Amino acid sequence: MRHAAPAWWAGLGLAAFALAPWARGVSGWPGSTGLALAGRTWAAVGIGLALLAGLGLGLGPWGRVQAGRILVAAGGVGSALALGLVFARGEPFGAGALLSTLSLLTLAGLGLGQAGLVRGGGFVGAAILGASLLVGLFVVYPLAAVLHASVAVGGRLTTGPLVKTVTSPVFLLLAHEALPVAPGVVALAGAVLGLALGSAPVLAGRRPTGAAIRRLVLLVGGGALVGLLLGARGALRNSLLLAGAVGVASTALGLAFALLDARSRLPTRRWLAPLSALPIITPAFVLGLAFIYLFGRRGSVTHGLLGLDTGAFFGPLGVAVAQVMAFTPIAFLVLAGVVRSLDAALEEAAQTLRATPGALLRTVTWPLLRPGLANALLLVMIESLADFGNPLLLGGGVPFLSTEVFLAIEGRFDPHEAAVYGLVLLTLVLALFLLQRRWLGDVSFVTITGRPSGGRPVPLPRALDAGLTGLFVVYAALAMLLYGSLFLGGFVRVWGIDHRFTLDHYRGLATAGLPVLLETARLAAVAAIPAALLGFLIAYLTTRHRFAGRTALEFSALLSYAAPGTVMGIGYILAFNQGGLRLTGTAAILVLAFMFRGMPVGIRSGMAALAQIDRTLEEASSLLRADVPATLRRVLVPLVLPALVTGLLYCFIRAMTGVSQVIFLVSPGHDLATVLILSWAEYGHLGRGAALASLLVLFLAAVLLPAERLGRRRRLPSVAAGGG
Amino acid sequence: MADEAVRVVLEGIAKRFGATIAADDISLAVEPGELLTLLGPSGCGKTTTLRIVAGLEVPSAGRVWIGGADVTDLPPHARDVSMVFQSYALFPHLTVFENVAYGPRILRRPAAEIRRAVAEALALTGLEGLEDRAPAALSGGQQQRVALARALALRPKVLLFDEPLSNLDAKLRKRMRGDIRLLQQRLGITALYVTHDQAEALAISDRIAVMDRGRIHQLGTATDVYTRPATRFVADFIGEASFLPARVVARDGTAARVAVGPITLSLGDPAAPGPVTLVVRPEAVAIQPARPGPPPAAGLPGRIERAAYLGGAGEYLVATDVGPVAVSDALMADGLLAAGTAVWLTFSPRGLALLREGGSEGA
Repeated sequence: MRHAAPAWWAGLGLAAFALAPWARGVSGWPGSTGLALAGRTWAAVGIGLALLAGLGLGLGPWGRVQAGRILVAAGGVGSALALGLVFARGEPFGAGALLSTLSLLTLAGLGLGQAGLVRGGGFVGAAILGASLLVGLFVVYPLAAVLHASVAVGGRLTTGPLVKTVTSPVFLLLAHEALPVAPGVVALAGAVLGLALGSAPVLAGRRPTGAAIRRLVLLVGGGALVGLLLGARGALRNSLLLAGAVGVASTALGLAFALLDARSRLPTRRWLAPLSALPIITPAFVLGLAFIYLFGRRGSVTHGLLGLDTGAFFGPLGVAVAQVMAFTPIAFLVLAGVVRSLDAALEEAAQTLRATPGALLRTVTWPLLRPGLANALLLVMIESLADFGNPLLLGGGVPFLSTEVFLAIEGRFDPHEAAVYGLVLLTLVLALFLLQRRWLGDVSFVTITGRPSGGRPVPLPRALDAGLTGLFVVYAALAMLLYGSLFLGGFVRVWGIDHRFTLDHYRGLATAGLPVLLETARLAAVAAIPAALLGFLIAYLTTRHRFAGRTALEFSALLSYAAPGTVMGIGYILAFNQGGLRLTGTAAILVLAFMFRGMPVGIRSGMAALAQIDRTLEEASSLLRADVPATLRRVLVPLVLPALVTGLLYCFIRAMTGVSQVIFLVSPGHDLATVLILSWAEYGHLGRGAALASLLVLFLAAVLLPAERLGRRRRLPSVAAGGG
Repeated sequence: MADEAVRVVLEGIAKRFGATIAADDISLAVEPGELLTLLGPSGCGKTTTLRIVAGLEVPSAGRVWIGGADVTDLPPHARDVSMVFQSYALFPHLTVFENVAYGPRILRRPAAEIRRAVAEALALTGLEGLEDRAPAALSGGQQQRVALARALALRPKVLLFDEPLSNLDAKLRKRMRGDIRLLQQRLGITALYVTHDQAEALAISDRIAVMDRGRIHQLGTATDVYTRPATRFVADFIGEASFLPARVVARDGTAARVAVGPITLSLGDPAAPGPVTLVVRPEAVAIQPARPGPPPAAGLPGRIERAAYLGGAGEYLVATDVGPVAVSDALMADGLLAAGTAVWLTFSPRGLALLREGGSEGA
């Protein structure tokens, strides 16, 4: 048996240990190396010995299984020592520490495969350990740091920050100056309303079934909660009400558009798909920027058209409208799939069973739509809760959870308060996310067979068609106005005051904005490649292999998808601001942030692609003597390549449009386009902000177009899954 | 092709998936050059057993030996076996040539040798001239042949078949099974073959292991399992059978006298006296319309419940005092007997078998 791989990795580790500086900021050979540390601490001696053991086991004539077990022990202990040494010494890690740890971990993984402790061989073992370490360090550890900072001050456990933040009026205050009565009364009114709604069917003479009683309890509870929130104020209340309102509005609009998409007879149908792609390439807050142009104090609509001088749109109303504009396409994309997969044959079957249109809607269409609706609602609510730019730009000083995380740390310099806000936000989003996953699991029955049915979808009734199309036209017109004003805004001197044409903003960009845009693109590109590869690797490991800790890896990867950017941002600050893992102030932390923001996109596109590939292809390959790396190289990667490239482009786009996480991490010399746009907009340089935002959107459109093309060509020849 | 054929031995193989037991203490030996079929209904554990031999599943207990070596802990790619998949599992991004050359290329054989091995495998399976086609551009039968050629290109010691013909239409299936059997015998490869189609199993196997619920009910030649079923399940699954309660009343050396209702039959199976179940194959029963007067000595009276015309034969279900009997009879000169007709049934010992006490398990 060949043990060449352990020998190579051990050699790399030894070279790094003996030649490269262990910590950053220290130079001079040999004093800065890990080898030099061996004179001072036993841990470094252990690391060196573990690497030597790896070399010996790779070169020596040892039995395969035996050598594997020793490799696991040596690599495991060695990498633990290396990590421990980095943490204990508190100096930011350097190339020596990085490469030594990496090779020791790889040695342990190779050993796992060699000893037969992991099925699939050394590559799978090393990949599992590597992916786990990366996800652990850059997803779990920052979130744990948030948790830690919210319950510990100066190393001691305390409920101080938690109590202080939760009881502060900014967080939640059960009183509202606009209400003449106590919030309890409003809550009671809500509960009574819920009771009335829920008991109506019971009073109407139907027998109270279990479902009806559950619905009743839900309505009463929901009514009381909404009443309580309406009668209160504070960030928690604002965020929850906003998420609920935006969720309902966007889902309703999304459903309307999805119905049009599948069943409209009008030509406007064709405009739905392109419109739904716009938010992907637009940072959510850019619509907020355009919103100021139209509805701000000097806005074209509010001031120019109506002659008002109002700040009414700064506050929850403005944020809500901007979010509905930005997130409706998400609901549309979810629901379009559901509505399209509604099997027309089912409706025809119901009609032949004497169902009236009303009964058809109640007994067939609605139950099939319900999981999709819940899914869309929860997704939009998550986006609304996590949105940072719109509340900051349009909130008009009204507190929201996501902005308070930022303001607590940047304005009040209180990382503990920020951590508590982050924790609350994370808890809410995770709860919604897990709910959504449960619904998503149930959605699958909508597709039922996957066999195209002969039935044609029934077109919408003409009146409904016209009505919904009207709604869409209003939405589309508003979207076009917003984008139009954004593009125009870059060419006029001062919007609302001096509308003369100018190129000054764009000329200004040449020195202040363009370099930042290019640097952002460079960092995003650097991050997108490892993000897509790591995402695909995790998708492959979790779907195709069984190993201890698989669920944990899956859940951690999920965390990186669910965690709002602001929470990740505060987590990165808390985790990487000092000690052995210090990264703040470097470009590396931006790349890492981009990478782990983009990774979930890679995981999802990887999973979707792998789901299309029959597992017997890999089995056939392995029976033709190919091990896992050879199967990946010769079968899987060629087959998923389009998905891999699409995933890579989406990682890139997601990195370039994100703002909430990186706003915590930028430093002088390492600025990013979205952060720059946001800060210009905040300080009133709307023109320049609009110009840079326009460039960003156009640039990303040029990236997205090929990505969409590739995505559409992703279907494989059907022979891949022929039969059983 | 195979220099010396090897023996495959399964020793106490068990496989559990959570609470379900897919294979339960399977032990068998496939002799060198033999084609042994695992036959059973879906979910009987036959595919799981095959996948354990391939290395695609790890058994919960037991060992697998190939050619004298214990391969239980080896991954699939380290075993000298090839497999033909039910779905063929042809690589859609590779041509026919590249699919067949996949194995030799993985083993880094010299280019000339690869070309020779591929040409040989394609010639054996009658695929010359299709080298540059994509799998999607082939017919189902051709795809099946490519899968077989790909498995043969590595000159494996052991060939595994997982329902290789179930995606073909009936006529093609019949031709392909003949081809596979011919090829396997010519090359002298040890083969393990999984199918749920009893006709396929009877047609191509040296021996058949009839499986149900993770266990082997009977292991024997085609004649064994058809004429001397070990359990009611085997008798029922292979061919058709009626089961009648009976009693062995006497035994002498090589034969037994068996009482079934009012009649007594003589069977060449020296069973101990006591209650038994009589297995009756439809073709062992002759049917004739009842005439006035008593029935003939070994004639069981009954009444036709259902009758169907099948071209070559008439198929009847006859109600008798001891239970329903299925009958397949060449059509009589006066045509199909109508339902409701009173008839006499007589039995030829060639299609009869006895199940002893406890032989009804698994039914």
